[in-house]
Parts: sequence; structure tokens; C-alpha cells
Amino acid sequence: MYLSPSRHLLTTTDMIVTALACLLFFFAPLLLRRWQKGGDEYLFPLVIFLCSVSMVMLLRLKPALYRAQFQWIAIGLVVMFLVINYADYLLRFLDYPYLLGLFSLLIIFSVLIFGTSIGGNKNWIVFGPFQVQPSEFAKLTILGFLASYLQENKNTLNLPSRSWSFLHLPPLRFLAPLVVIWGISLLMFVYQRDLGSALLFFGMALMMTYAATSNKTYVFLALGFFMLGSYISYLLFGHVRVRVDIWLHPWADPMGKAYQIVQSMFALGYGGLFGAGYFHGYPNLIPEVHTDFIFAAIGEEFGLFGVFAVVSAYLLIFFRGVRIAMYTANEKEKLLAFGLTGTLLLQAFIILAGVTRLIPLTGITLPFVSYGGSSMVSGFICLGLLLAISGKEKKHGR
Amino acid sequence: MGADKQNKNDINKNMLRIVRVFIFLFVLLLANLSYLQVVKSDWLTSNSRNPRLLERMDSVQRGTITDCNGVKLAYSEKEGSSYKRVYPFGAVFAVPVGYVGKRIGNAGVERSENAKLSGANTLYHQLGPIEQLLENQQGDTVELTLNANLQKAAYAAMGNRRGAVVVMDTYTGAILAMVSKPSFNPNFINKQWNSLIKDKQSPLLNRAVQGLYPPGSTIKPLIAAAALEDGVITPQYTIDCKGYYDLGDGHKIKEAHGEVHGHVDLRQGIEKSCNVMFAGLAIKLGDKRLEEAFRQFGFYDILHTDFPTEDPHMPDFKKLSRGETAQIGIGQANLLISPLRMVMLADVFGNQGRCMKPYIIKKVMTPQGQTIYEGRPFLFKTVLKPQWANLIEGYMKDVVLYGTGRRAQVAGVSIAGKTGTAENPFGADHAWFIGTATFKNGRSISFAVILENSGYGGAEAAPVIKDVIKAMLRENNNG
Repeated sequence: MYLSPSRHLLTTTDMIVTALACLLFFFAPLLLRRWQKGGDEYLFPLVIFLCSVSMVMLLRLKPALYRAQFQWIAIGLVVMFLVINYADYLLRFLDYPYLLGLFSLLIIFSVLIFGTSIGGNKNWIVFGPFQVQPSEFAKLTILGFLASYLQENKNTLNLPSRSWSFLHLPPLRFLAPLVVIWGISLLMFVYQRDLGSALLFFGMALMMTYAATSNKTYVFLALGFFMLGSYISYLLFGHVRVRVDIWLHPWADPMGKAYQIVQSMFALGYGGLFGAGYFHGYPNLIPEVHTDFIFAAIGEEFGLFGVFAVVSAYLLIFFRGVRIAMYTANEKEKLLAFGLTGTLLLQAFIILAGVTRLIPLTGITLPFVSYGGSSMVSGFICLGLLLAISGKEKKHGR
Repeated sequence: MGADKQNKNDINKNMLRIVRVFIFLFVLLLANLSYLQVVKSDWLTSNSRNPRLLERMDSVQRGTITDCNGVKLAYSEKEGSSYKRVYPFGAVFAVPVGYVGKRIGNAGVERSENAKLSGANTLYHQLGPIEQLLENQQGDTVELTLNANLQKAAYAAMGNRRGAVVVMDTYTGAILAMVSKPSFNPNFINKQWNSLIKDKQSPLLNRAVQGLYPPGSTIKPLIAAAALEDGVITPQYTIDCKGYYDLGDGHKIKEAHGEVHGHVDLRQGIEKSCNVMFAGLAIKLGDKRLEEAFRQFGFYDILHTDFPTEDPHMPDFKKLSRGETAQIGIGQANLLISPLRMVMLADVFGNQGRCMKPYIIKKVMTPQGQTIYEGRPFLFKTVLKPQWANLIEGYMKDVVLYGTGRRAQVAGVSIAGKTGTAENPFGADHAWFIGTATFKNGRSISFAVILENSGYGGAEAAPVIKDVIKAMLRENNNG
């Protein structure tokens, strides 16, 4: 049998970590069933599947981070159990939308002020040995704010005060908080060069507003705002222009600016239908393959079948999440559940479409799969909240 | 309470609408993924910018490239834990065989046959785990139609002059020699890359197939054939050459060396390369018929073969002045053709009016010796009736026997040729010689030589072919 020169021989630590991961992944779902009666039974195993994919890929891509990723998953699990346990307290914050809004703004502005640039994105805060990506957590508080604010104001937001042809706008003071959220996403876009989070926040706000108000005006307004904003940033900012040009013409500079996306497409093409096989591809040719580009590595070594499996897991998580939202009576929790699950899927879409050149590439993590502590912990908080909401509903009966 | 229920249902309905949007987005995503991983998979895998097959070369022994007699032109040998590519002939075969570049991509046959040479058999490639069972330790062997002895002779005969030589089997289209100078040593390509790409003499350019030059007088057989076939003239056609052709607007087209040919017929016109006759014939034919003639000879047809080529650059015949029309007759005026295409022109006259498609891959064999591809002769175009082709070929034989091509003569070989001296606005004239040589054993070769900025075709280019023909004679005697 042929051994790839990049083949990594397992160290003792790797083997211990693998054994622990097997135990954890086996017993955690059992523990969950004891911990919480009546929660959704499919969500957690699906997430465990994604975490296993993550571990398997990291062992191959960046063995040095294998143990660290396992630690983050373990921490994430603990946080998830805590979230489920204290969900009643946490969900009580939904009664104070402006507190959540203020909290979100605080997090965002702390990044603007104390942010450090890592990998071209100025969206990190360094606490001693820890690097935290606050936008991962701001995501959750913003979702909370949106769910709570929109539910409380949905009737007002639907009262038209002025109309232009088919657009019906409510008074400006009710619109203001939404505009602030969109403004924040634009600010991140421009100042922090974090195009991925900007796109995500924007989509999140749009999705939630429509779900709460069923007012198409907001959709048109937001899309108009988005197109205008993108066009102006394209004209004004070099980094945006570069991204778009790479997207449109990757073959103009395949060894330079477009290296990453071109290598990603090479990886996917090389993988073909069944993949080159574990350890038989060359995913390390792609820079940052263990974070944003981990999906291309899965495509290279496990082929179209592998990526279909991963994409299916995200879709199934989303459908379970939507089901939870549909059966939840409390409207704020309903909106929150939908926001959480929709944001998870939207985030997956933004990075998957980016690495396959369907949309311009924006750096963002693939939830539960990419390497990264903030992303992993925030993902598990999101999962914990979804499980808690589903459990509550079962407990109270429908 | 009723209104509240209404709202709840509203939110559920809205959520379902958003779910539909997501489903649409993911259908797009999965369709795009399938496109990349299935439809475009081969293209992405064999793309020369994709380093994966090169990386794999470190663990798989890259296949050997040989000439038509099995002489190794490129092979891989173990060096430490990986393999090193060796080109035993150095610069001689650099242009057709090419090189394997780590960051610079491949060229030549190393590029076009990369998937087979690298052992990345795309047949098994997408079978995932199964592929690992069937994986080769060694790439396929590619056997070329080139002949090492002919190639060496042509390379040596060119000396230090810039230009190209192409030799093709007249009846099959198999390329026997393809030289372009200046050349480079592919053994050191990765080290010398930066100076090579900056070199003003363009050593990386394959002049034989991608260099475009004015054909000069070598186009005259085409003009003669077109005029004959069209009935504009008969073989008995004669003119009086006073040393210049008067265009009537004060401009004149002159003979080379200030010659005056006097009373000449078509045979002598080709033999002596009479500019006055062919400028006049071009005018007689007219722009429309001239364009048709070039079309008939395949200069507008795109050549698809197993190596990259450059299409001829044709003038816009609708916009030619009278002077430019006359210039076409002597192969000037914005007419640019590669040496390969000139070989194909020579092939028409040596092959009863039929032009063969050139090819360079003789066969591809697996390490187990099984042939998985075989290059076959293929007719590119039937251009002329045999009677006209043979007539012109007879005139071209006189060029070598008595005319401007005498320096190519080799005893015992029947050679038909046409010299050319192409004017070049950037410097000294280019020397051309094209034609065919038929040997006693029945084999025949078609050839074209161009030497940049080196003067008269008869004096400079014809002797190069003489050396090639002598090498071919030795080949015939040995084989």
C-alpha cells in the first residue's frame, strides 16, 4: 500500500484523544436523555456526526490542533448542558429586548475598539492566552434581540404610515432598531473586513423580520439597501473589489490572489464522485484548510458522496429546528428557535457557496466542523437553546 | 385569542416560505458541487496549475517518453525519497517534449499527456478507496513519432541560428522532427525559469508550431496551383520578366538580386522564383479567388491535434490594395504562417494533393505493456486533384535540380522543394525552404525550415534539409 508523504503517524496523545472522543460521542447522547426529558432526539446526534467529521478531518489536516479541537468540543458540550439546565433563566432575557440590543452593541463596539487583526479579519479580541471571536457570540444576542423586539412590535411594524406604490413603511422610530442592526453589519463589512459575518448578520435580520411581520416591504427595502451597499463598497473599498474580481475571474491570477479559491476547486475536482480517499488527497495545498476551507478537504478525500452527507446533516438539523419552532407556542421562543436554526444553515451556506465559487468568498467558519473555539462554543450554545425550547414545549404539552 | 392564533399561523407560514428559499439555495449549491466534482472533475484534475498530479509524482514513478524507436527522451529516476526527471538529450528535444515544472506548470508532451505520464489514471481516479487498490506505482509510457537521429541532425544543422525545422512523414502525417531554436535545457528549467521568461530571444516559444512568419516565395506553388485549377492560366503560360512588376501607381515589385529573368514559363517561374510572374498571377486571380485558394488549402481550417498549434494569420482580402494583392502572390502583405502549416502545404504537393493531419503521439502503453492509445494517420483535407499536385511537384523538383534549391541535393533521393526569402520589417530577411524528399524504399518526408534573419532561403535553409535527408538515408540503411 502506498503511503502519502504527508501521512501523519498517530502519536500516543492522538490515540488517547481518539479514544476519549469515541467515549464522549457515545455517552453524551445517553447523558442528554437523562439530563433532559422530552427534547428533540435527532438534533444532538446530527451535531455529533458533524463533530466527528471535524475530528477526522483535523487529525489529517492539522494534527497539532487535533487535541485542541477535542477540548473545544468537550467545553462546548459542557456549555450546552449548562444552557439546557439554566434555559429558563436565559430565556427570561427575551422579556428585555433593549437589554439584549444594548449588550449586542457593547460586544460589537468592544471589537471595534479592542479588536486585533488575525488573518486579515479584525474581529478578534485577545484575553491573555485566549483569542475570542466576539461576533460568534454577538450573533446569539442579536438573535435574542430580534426575536424579542420583532414579536413585541410586529403589529406596529405592519401599520403603514406612508406608502409608496407597493411599499408600506411604518413610522421611522419603529424601524430604527432594524436599521441599527443593518448599520452594524455594514460597519463590520467596512471596518473589520469581516464580510462573512456582515453577510450573516444581514441575512439573519432579514429572515427574522420577514418571519415576524410577513411584510414584503422589508424584504425589498433590505435587498435594495444590500445592493446599493455592495455597489458602493465595491467602488470605494479595494478589499471588496479584490474579492469580487477573484470570484468573477479566478483564472486571471490562479497562482496569486485567487490561489485559495482555485486550489479549493482543484481539490473538489480531484475528489470527484467517491473522493481520493482519507489521507490520499492533497488538501494541505489550500491555505487555511482547517478553518474556512475544511469543506474542500472533505470534498477532496471523500468526494461528492462525502460532501452530500455533510450538507444533508445541516439540512436535517435545519428541518428539525424549524419543526421545533413550528410547535413552539411562545412567539418569542418560536422566533428565536427559527432564528437560531436558520442562522446555522445560513452560515453553512455562506461558506459552502464561497468555497465552491457560487458566491464571492467570505471568511466564516463552517459550524461544528471548522477548527475554532469561539465558533464551536457558540454553536453548542445555539444547540442548547434549541434543545431547551423543544424540551419546554414537550413538558408543557401542545 | 382568534387574532393571536391567526398571527401564530402567520409566523409558521412565513417560516415555511423561508424554508423554501433555503431549499432553493441548497439545490443550487448541490448542483454546483455536482458540476465541479463530476462534470469538471477531469478538467480540474489535469489542469496544469493543479499541483496534485505533480505532488503525486513524488510517490509514483512518472512514465517514460521515448522516440519512435524506443530511445528514451525523458524518464524519472529515484533521487532520495522522490523522483527526478531526466532529459538525456537536453535542449535538443526541449520544445516538443517539454518539461515538468513544480510551480511553473508543464509544457509540451509532458503537459498534454500529463494525466497518463503521472500515473493518475482517471479511469480509476474517482473510485475512491477502490482506486487505492488499483493504483499504479508507475505512469504510462508515451511513445512519440519523433526520430532522435533526425531531430539531432536538424538541431545540429541549424547551428546557432534562430528558427525552426519540422519534418513529417508525407503519407501519414507523423511528425519525425520538430526543432525550435534558441532552445533551453529542461533539466534545469526550474532553476533557470526566471531568466528564461525574460530572455528577449524567447527560448520557451515553440517556433515550429507557434511561430508565425511571412511565407515569402514558398507560397508560390500554392498560387500556381490555384491559377492552374481555376483556368486563369495553362501550364504553357509565359511572361516576359523585365526585372520588376509595375503596379501602375509608381510602385514596382522587384526581383531579388536585381535579376532579369526574360522569357519564362510557369516551370521556370517556380524554378527561378520569379516575383514578376507571381505578383501578376495574384492580380490576375483577384482578391476573392485568392482568399478561396487559401481556404481550399486549409489555411482557414482549425487544426485540432495532439499538440497545441497556432492558426495562420490571414489578411482581410476584402480590403487589399492592388499592391497588397500583388504582395500576396509572393507571400508578403500581412500573411503569417507557422512552419508546421508550411509542412502541411508541402505535403499537398508530395502526397497527390492530399494533406495529412500532423500528429506526434505514436502510442501510450501501461507499465504492464498494454497499449491504451495509438495515434493513427488522418486525412486533414483533400486539397488538389492529383494531376495538379503532381505537375507542381515536378516543377518543385526542378527547383532542387536546377533552380534556387540546388544546395539541398542528395544523391539517390528525389527532392522537391521551394525556397523563400521573407521580408521582415524588423530586420534581415528570413530564409525558408519547404518541400518533400522521396527515398528509394518508398518512404517520403515533408519538411519546412525557417531561419530567422539569416538571408536567402536557397543559400541558408536548403543545406539544413540536406543534413536531415542524409540522416534519414542513414536511418533507412540501418533499418
